[in-house]
Amino acid sequence: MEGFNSNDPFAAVPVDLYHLIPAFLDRREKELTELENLFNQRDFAAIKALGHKLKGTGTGYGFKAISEAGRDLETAAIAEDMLELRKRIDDLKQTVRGILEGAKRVLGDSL
Amino acid sequence: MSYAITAILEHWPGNIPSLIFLPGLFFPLVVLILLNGFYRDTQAVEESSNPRAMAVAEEETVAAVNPNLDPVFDKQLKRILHDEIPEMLEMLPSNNWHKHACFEKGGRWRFTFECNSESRRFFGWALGSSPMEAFLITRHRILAQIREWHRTRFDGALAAPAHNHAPRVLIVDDDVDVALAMQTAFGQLGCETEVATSHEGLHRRLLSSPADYIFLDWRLNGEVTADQVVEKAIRYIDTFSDLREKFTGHRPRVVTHSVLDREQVVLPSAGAPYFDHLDHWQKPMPFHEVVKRASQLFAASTAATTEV
Repeated sequence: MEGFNSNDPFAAVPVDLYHLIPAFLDRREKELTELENLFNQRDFAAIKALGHKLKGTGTGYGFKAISEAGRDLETAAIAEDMLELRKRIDDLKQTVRGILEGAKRVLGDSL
Repeated sequence: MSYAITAILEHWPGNIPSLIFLPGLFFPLVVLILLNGFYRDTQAVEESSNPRAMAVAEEETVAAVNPNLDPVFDKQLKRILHDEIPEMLEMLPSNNWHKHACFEKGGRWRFTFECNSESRRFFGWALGSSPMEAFLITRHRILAQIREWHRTRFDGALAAPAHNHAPRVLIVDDDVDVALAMQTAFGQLGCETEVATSHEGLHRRLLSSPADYIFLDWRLNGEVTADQVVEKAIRYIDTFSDLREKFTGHRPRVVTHSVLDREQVVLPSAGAPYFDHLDHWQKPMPFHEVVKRASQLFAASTAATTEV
């Protein structure tokens, strides 16, 4: 389903999944913390696995940006490129933050 | 300040007459609502055979009534009109007429929805702090009625299902977000669902589950693949006669899902008497696609069984 505003990261989320969004975002935030730890440990295999998982998760919920960020993360982990990984992790943080803002606007107190 | 908005119906033959007459119908309607303090339990009703055309007219009406509508609410209303209601209508019986209304009074939004068809009436309303909240609660109530309707249909003689109950679905995916989204999708279609997110003991779960359909993620926890789990289950089935009896009498239909394509996903051939590898879905898949494909799958399976 296309959202009516392509700039809104929350626009393409199916309403049927709204009740799952708070837990979904909670898990993404935990993953970001985990990602930072893995980055500091230079655990490329685990980062790759996490990126791969995100790639499959985002689209189902209408968060194409998360899937793309997961894909980029996986690619950077395979290349073991620390600079690129740093950038991709920061990008993912931005994406999750943007979605969280969008979610707050739409879901309000229920988030 | 209150704002009154919208109403929709279907089955007015011909799109062009609808488009011509709608603005004329809406203007006096809006004036009437304004004069009455913007609040009426019975909402304005218009008819159209084209919900999309109607949605455009609604959008214009919103602007006419209240050019200063909060942009967030405005956005939500547009989304409800353009995306959510048409999507909900697709789940309802065809040959129906329906109406909905959304308005605000004293800082509270009220959304009502009613759909009548030859076989069933669906009705719900709710209050919320925003149009979307009111809509979501209403939608939740309507979906419950749709589920009930599906249950009735599956039990009814007309549908002649493969089994005398709603389809039972076992969802296996180590990604809890994916599993829950699928559970929501199948729940909408009236299925009874159970979810397994761990590969540990999964073969036992496959053996004990009463599932008619098993949606099986191919790679589980990065350690085990679905064919290994099925292989293990087959060994048990081959060993125990009660399991053999169960699985030959009721062969679960398996749908594998993975980022891999169909050719890379092969279940053990020894499992053919016990499991029917019906389909393969390639990830990632948007939610509406899951609903659509599952709906087609259940319909095709039911039709095939009925023919037999």
